[in-house]
Amino acid sequence: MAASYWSSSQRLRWLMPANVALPGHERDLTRVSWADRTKLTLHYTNVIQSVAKRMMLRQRVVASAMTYFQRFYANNAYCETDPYPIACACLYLAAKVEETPHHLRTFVNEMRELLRHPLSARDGTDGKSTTANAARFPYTSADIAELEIYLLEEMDFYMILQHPYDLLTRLCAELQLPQSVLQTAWFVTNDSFRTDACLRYPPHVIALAALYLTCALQPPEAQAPASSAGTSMGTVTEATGGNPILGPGSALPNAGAPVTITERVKDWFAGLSTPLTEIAEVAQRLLAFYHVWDSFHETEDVSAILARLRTPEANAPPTAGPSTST
Amino acid sequence: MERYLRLEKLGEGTYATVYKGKRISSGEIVALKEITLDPDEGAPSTAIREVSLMKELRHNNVVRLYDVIHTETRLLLVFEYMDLDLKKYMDLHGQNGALQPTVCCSLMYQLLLGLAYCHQRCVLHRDLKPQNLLINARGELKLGDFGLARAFGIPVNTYSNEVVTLWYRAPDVLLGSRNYTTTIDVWSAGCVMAEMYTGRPLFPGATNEDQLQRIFRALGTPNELTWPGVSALPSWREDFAQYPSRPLAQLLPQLANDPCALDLLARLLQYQPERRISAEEALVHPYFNSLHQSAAQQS
Repeated sequence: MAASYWSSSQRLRWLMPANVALPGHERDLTRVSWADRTKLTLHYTNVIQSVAKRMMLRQRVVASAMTYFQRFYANNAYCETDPYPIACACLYLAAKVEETPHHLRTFVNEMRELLRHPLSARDGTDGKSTTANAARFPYTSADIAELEIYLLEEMDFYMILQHPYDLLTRLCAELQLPQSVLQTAWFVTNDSFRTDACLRYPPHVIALAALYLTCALQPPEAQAPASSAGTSMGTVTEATGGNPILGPGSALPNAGAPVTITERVKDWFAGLSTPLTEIAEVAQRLLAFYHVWDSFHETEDVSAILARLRTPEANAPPTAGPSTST
Repeated sequence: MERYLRLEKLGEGTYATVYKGKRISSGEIVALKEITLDPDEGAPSTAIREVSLMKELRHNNVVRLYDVIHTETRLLLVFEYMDLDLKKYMDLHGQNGALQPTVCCSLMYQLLLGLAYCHQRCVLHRDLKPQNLLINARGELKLGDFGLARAFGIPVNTYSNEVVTLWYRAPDVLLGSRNYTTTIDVWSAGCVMAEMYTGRPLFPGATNEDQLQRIFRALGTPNELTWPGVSALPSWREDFAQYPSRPLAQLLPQLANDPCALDLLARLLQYQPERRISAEEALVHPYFNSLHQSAAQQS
C-alpha cells in the first residue's frame, strides 16, 4: 500500500497544505467560532459513525465516508447546505467503494430512524421529546442518489483512499507494543477523521501521530491490559464514541523512573525519517479537537450552534443541493 | 454530453453501452461508455469501482479514462479509443486465430507491463481475457474493462469468489479460495498466452466442475505433494478424477520448439498461487530476450 501512496490521487489531488484555510470552513467561520464548527463536524461524523454501526459496516468504510465528508466540506459550507443527506451519500458511496454495498433505502431508513430521535448520536438511546427534531431527514433514496453524483463531481471522481490502520497495526507489531496501545491508537485514528487532518496529512503521518499521542499520554506500561482488545478492530466498535485518551484517568506520564517500552518508542520516534514536526502538528490538532469534545453536549450544543449558523432566511428547509464551485 | 458526438454502438455490457464517439473540439475519436443511473440506487457499484480505479491508473498499457461526465440520468465515461480487442485481432490477423510467435511475444510483454503496473499500484484486474485486452492501430495492447477490478488492501478474505470469466479463472479460485491476490491475474495471463499461440481457448470449461476437469486433464490432478494445502480448499474433493501430469509441450505442440515460451507458460500456470511467477518477474524472463534484442537493433 505504502508504495502506491506517492503516486495516488489522495496525495497528488487531495492533499492540502496544513495551514491554508479551506473556503467552505471560512464561510462558516464568519458565523460561528472554530470550536462551534468543530462541534458540528463532531455531530455529523457521529451520525456517520452511528449509521455505520447500526449497519455493521467496517471501520474502513467509516474512515472513507468521513474523508469524503471532509472533502465535500472543504469547498462547501455547513451554513449553505444540509449536511445530513451529504453524510448519508458519503457513507453510501464509501460502502460501494470498499466493496460492501447495501441498498440505498437501507441507509435512508437508518438515517431517518437515527434522526427521528433527539440529537444524541453517541448513545442513541434516550428517546425524549422528538417533536423538535422530527423530520430532520425528509430525504428519499432518489435525493441521496442525486447527491451522490454531486459528491462524486465535487471529488472529481477520485475515491480510492489509503487509511492509517494497516500501518498502525504493523507498527505496533514491529515495536511489540501491548494490544492496549494498538487499541487506543486505533481509536485515536478513528477520531482523526473527525478533523481535517485526513485532508492535510498523509495516512502514515496520522498513524504515527496517533501512536505518538497514545504513548505520550498513556505510557504503555501504565495501560491496563485491554479486556476487549483484538475482538472487533475491523468493525465499528463500542468505544468509538468515547474520548479514549483524555478521560479522567489519563493524566500525563508519571515523572517516575523511565520505563523500557516508552524509552524504546521514544528512541524509535527519534530515528524516523518522517519529520517529527509533522507528527507533532497532527497531535496538536487532535488535542485541540479533544479539548472541544470534552465540553461537547451534543443535544443542546448542536441546535444552539445551528441556530447561530443559519440566518433567518436560511432557516427554511435547507436545500439538498451543494453549492458547487463550477 | 455536448462535448462529444456519439457515433456507432460498439458493444453492450451488463451495466453499460459502449459507443464510438468524437470529441467535438478536437475531432479525436474516443470510446464512450454510457451507464444508466438507477434513480433509487445511484451509480452501479461496478461503475463506481471502474471509475475509482481508472482514475488512479495511468500507464501506456492500461486504457486511459479521460473524463467522466454526468448528465441527468446517465454517467458517461470517456475512454481512449482502441480499435479492436484481442479476440477480434486474433480472428482477423491470426491463422485460424493463432498469431505469429513474434506477435505473441510482443503482445504478451505489453500485457505483463500493464499488469505489473496495476499490481504495483495494488489493483487486481480479476477479469483478464482476450475480450478485455484492447489493441489499437499502432499494435499497442492495453488492459481494459476494470468493472470487476478491485483495489486490494486488508482484509483479503472477503473477496467474492464469483469473479473472472470461467475459462481464465485460476484453479485456487475454482476450488473456492477467497483470499486470492495478484496471482489470479497471472493465471489468466497464462491462459491468454496459450490462446494467442493456438487460436483457441486453453481451458474452455462449461461449468465450474468442467473447468477444473479440463485443467486437471491437461496439467495433472494436483495433490498434497504437488500443491501443499490443496485438500484444505473449500471445494476440494477426494474423488476428483486422477490425471497424470503431462509436459506442456504435449498439450501445446505449437510451442514444442520454443523452450523459453514453454518455461514462461509453465511458470504462469503454476497450481500453487505462491509459486506462480509475478508479472514483474515475468517481464525479465528469457522469453522476452528476443524482444529486447530486436529493440536494441532498431535503436
